[in-house]
Amino acid sequence: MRKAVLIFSIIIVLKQFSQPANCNFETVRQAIAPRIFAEQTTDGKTQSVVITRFLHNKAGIIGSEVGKCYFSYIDPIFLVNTLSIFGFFSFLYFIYDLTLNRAQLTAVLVLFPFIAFYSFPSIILIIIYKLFAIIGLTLFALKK
Amino acid sequence: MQKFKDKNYLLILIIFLALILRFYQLGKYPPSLFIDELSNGYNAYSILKTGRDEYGNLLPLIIKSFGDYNPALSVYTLIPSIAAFGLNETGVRFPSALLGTLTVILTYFIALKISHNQKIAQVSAFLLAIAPWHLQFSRYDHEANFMVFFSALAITLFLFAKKRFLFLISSAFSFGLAFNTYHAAKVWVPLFILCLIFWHQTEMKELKLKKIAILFLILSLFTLPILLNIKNSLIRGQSTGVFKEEKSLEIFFSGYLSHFSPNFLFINGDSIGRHSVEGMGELYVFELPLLFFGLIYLVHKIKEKNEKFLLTWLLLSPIPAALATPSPHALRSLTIIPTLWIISAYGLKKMMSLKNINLRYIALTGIFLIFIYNLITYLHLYYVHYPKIKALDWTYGYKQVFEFIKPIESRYQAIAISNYYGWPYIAALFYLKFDPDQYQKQSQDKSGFYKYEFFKDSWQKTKPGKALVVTPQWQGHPPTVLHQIYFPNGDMAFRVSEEK
Repeated sequence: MRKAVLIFSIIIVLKQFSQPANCNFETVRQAIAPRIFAEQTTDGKTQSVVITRFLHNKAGIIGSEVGKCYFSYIDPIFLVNTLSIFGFFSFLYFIYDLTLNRAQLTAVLVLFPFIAFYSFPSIILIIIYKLFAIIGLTLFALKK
Repeated sequence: MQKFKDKNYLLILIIFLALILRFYQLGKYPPSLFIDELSNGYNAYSILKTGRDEYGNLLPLIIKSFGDYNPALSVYTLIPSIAAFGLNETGVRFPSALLGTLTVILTYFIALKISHNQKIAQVSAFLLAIAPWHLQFSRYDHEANFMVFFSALAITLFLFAKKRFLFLISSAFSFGLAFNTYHAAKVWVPLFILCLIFWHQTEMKELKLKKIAILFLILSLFTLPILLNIKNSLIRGQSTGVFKEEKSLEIFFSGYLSHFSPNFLFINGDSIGRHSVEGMGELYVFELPLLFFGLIYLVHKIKEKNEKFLLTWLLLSPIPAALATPSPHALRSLTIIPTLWIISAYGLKKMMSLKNINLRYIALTGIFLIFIYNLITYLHLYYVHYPKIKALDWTYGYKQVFEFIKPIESRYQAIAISNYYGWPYIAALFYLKFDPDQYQKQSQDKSGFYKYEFFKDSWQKTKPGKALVVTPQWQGHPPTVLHQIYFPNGDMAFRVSEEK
C-alpha cells in the first residue's frame, strides 16, 4: 500500500499542470462597466428603474464575475489536467473527509482559490492542490 | 378527497406552480418556433391530414426531417395537440410543457421511493418545478424532453413495482418508448436499464425466467424501428460523435467532466442560445451548497440500494452527451433530471439538521434570500432579456414574413426567400399551413414548391411576372421595399421587396 501511495504521489507531483484561466480582481473590475451597460441597455427604457437597479447592479455583477473566476479554479477539467485522474479523486476524497470530520476547516478550504485572485503566481495554488491531493490519497490509504 | 387534499396540498401547489411556469405565454416565450419545432409540427400535421410525413412516407417510424432521421415518437405525440389547438406555437409546444409538468410529479414519486421521506420528495419536486434547466426544455418542443419523461415514468413504475408484474411490463413499455424518442436515448436507455438491473439484482433474480423473457421481448420490440432503419439512424451520431475526432477518448473524458463544471452548472449554462438563458447557469446559485452537502451526505450515509442507484444515475447521465460534440451540452445531458434536484433536497435536509441552531438559521436565511434573488433574476432574464438577445437562435422573423406575404400572395408569380437563416421551406409550409398532400408529391426538391423559391447568395428571376423577394438585411434586393421585419432588439431580420 505504501508503495502505491508513493507511486501515485509521484504521479501527482510530476503531472504537468495546465495554466489556470487568467482571472483575477482586475479582470473582474474590467468586466463590470460593460456588463452593466449591456444589461441595462437590454432592459430598455420602458423597464422600471427600480427593477433595473435591483437586478443589474455592481454587487450582482461582481458576484457573478467573481463566481466565474472562482469556479474556473475548481473546474474538474482543470483539476484533472493539474493533478492527474488519481490526483483528482484523491483531491475529492480530501474534501469529503475534511467536510465530514473537520467541517470548520472546509470553510478555510473554500478560501484557497482566492489566492489566484491576487497577484501571487498561480503555481502556489497548484502546489496547494497537489498537496491536498496527496493528503487525500494518504487518508484514503490509511482508512483502507 | 378532502383527506387526500390535506395530505398532499403542498404537492398540489407545486404542480400548480410547475403548470404556470411551463404554460404561461408558451407561444410567445421562447420568441419563435425553431426550425426543428417547425419540422416536427408540420410532419405531425402532415400525418394528421394524410397519414404520411412531408416526404410521403406512410406512418413513418423514423422522420427524415432535415436528414437527421429522428425517431418518430415525439412527432406522433404532437398529433392530438395539433388537432386540438391547430398548427401553431401552442399546438407544437403543448405536449412538451405537459410532459415537463408530469416529470415534476414523477420526480416526487421517485424521490419518495428513494428517500422514504415526503419532505425530501416535496422539495425535489419543487426544485425541479422552478429549475431553469428543465423549464428551458419544457417550453420548447424537443425529443429530449420526451426521453426524460418516459425514462422517469419507466423508473417510477419499476421502483413501485415490487412484485406487481403489470408495473414491470409498463416500465419496460415506457423504456421502449423512451428509446424511440431521441438519438441520445440509443445510448442512454440501455445504459440506464443495465444500471437499474445492477442495483436491483435481487428482485430481478426472484422473477421467473418466463417473465424476464416477456420484459426482454417488449424491450426488443421497441428496438425494431431503429434496427430496421439502422443506416439512417446512425447518421446523426456519426456527424456529431467524438469517435471521428483524433483524440476521441480525451475529448470524451473532458466532455464528460465538463458537465460537472461549476461554471456550466451555476454561472454560464450551455453556450447554445436555445439551451439556456444568458446570464444564468443551468442551476440556481442557491442550490450550490445544497448540492454539495447533499452529495457528501449521500456518499457518507449511503446504505439503501436506491440511493446508490441515484448516484450511479447522476454519474451515467452525461455519457450520451460526452459521446458527441460540443460539450457541455444541456440538451443531451437532460437525463440528469431529476438526480441533481433530489440530491439538493437531501442537502437541505442535512442543513436543517445542523446542531448549531444559530449556524442553521444563518445558513438557511442566506439560502432563502439568494433563492428569492435568483428566482426573480431568472424570470426577468427569461421574459425580458432572452427574447431580445436570443431571437436569432430561434429563427425569429419567419412567422412575421408569412403573415405579411399570405394576404398578398396571389398578386405575385414568384416568391423568393433567402435561406440565410436556414430551411425557409419548412417555415413556409408551417406558417402557410400548406396542403401536405400537395407538397408530398414534390418533397424531394427543397429548392422550392408552388410559387415559392429558396435561394442562397442571390436570386435570379426565372419566371415572367411580379415577384416578392425576402432577404436578410445584408443581402442585395430589388429597389421597391414593401416591408421590414425586426428582431425584438431592433435589428433588422428580413426585408420584403418587390420585383416588377
